[in-house]
Amino acid sequence: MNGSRAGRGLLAAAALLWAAAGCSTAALKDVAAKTARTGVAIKDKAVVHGGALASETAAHGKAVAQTTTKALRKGFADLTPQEEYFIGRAVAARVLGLYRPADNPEATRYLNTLGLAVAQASSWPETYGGWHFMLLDSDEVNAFAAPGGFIFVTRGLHQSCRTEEQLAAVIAHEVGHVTLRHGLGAIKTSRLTEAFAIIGTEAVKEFTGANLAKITEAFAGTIDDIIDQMVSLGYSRWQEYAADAEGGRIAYRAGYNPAGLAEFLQSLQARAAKAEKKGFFSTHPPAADRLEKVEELIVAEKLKGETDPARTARFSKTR
Amino acid sequence: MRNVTKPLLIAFLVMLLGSTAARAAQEKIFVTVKATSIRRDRQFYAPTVASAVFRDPLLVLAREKDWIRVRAKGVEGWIHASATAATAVSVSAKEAAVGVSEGDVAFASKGFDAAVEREYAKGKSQANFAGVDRMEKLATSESALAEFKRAGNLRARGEKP
Repeated sequence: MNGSRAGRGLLAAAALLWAAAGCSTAALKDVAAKTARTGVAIKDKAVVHGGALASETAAHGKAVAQTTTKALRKGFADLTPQEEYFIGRAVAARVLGLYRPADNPEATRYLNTLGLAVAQASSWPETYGGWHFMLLDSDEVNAFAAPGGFIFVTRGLHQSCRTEEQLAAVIAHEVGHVTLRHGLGAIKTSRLTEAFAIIGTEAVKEFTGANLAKITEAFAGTIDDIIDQMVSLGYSRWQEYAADAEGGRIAYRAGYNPAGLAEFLQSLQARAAKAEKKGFFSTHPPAADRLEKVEELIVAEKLKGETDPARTARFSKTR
Repeated sequence: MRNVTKPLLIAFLVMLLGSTAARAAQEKIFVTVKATSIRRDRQFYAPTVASAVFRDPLLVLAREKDWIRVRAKGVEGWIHASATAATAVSVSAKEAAVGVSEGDVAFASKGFDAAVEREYAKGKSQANFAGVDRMEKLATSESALAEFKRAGNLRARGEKP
């Protein structure tokens, strides 16, 4: 009995890990707003991913690499897809230092196929290293999205879903965090300023000696910033809303019923409230707010879909 | 007056269209992902006509929504825009205008790369890069994905309404 109560309490707290929003700063909010408005990160008309620069913006003589690089790159929107990939790999490595992968090849294969079907419907279907999905061996109800397309879903979240639509909606939400570059938005500007300055001053093809140490230090700080935001603090409430909206659109374009996210939020809300009527859930109400906004989005953007029984049946076999 | 204006207007429009087409035909872009496919049609499951890898140059022939028709390696086909860019490093229009070249600067510039990752991994015992390597090997084949969609009655809905 106590175990059951404790289990529900754990579930309530765990639900909040995924559902509750973290802290925010005005600066972060502004940056995130900029990326979310456009759907892809755009800075001074330079499309970072999801498209090419206009030919007029390129090529006027031969510039010297180190001087132009130093002058050009200022913030996270200036990171290349390849750099975003290496940042994502390191963030993913840290996540896999905290959580063990689940020993369930069938569910992992299913998650990867479903995840790819969802990611291909996003604004960034082709990342530098591709999209990859991993099931984590944890009872927590949680999911993480590392830059570049590394998505993690806990066993607890997988088992909390009741349909493929719900799992697809959660994954679409995480894909939304990546395409909106929320993880990169957590990097302190000073880290990148420092890194870009080092990059701009090294004339050789590879870093060596002191410069390698300096760039690695800036890289380590970058990864710490993202891990702190993603795992410890959580994204801002505003970023969660943005990822919900983008996730709803992605799920719809992939052929899923975007109501899956609303259903999942409802289920979390009900189960958490049952286990813990007051406390953390009541002081962090984003699940209710998010639910309302998701339902509004579905109506406003006509994202109505159907939950297919064949999908629900195959999902049940993976739980 | 009317008889003179009309032919002039038509000639002007023809010149304008011709000029735009010529510019599009000359536009060069680069592959910004590790590996991708140039496809026969504008969809991910269309047959591959050629493989393309990071830094491969492509000549732009046409654009259609999120897809770009390109010529490369002696063939023509479609590539998704998200796998390409005019440069591999983002630059502002203002700064590009003062001297960024399209390929050389972009690819010459270094950044967070494999060498930095190796150095970082040395001091981070809690970072599990072997696990990430295994994660990257969890690839889904195009045929498996197509079957997953077919069996689940998943029909992509194209653009958002």
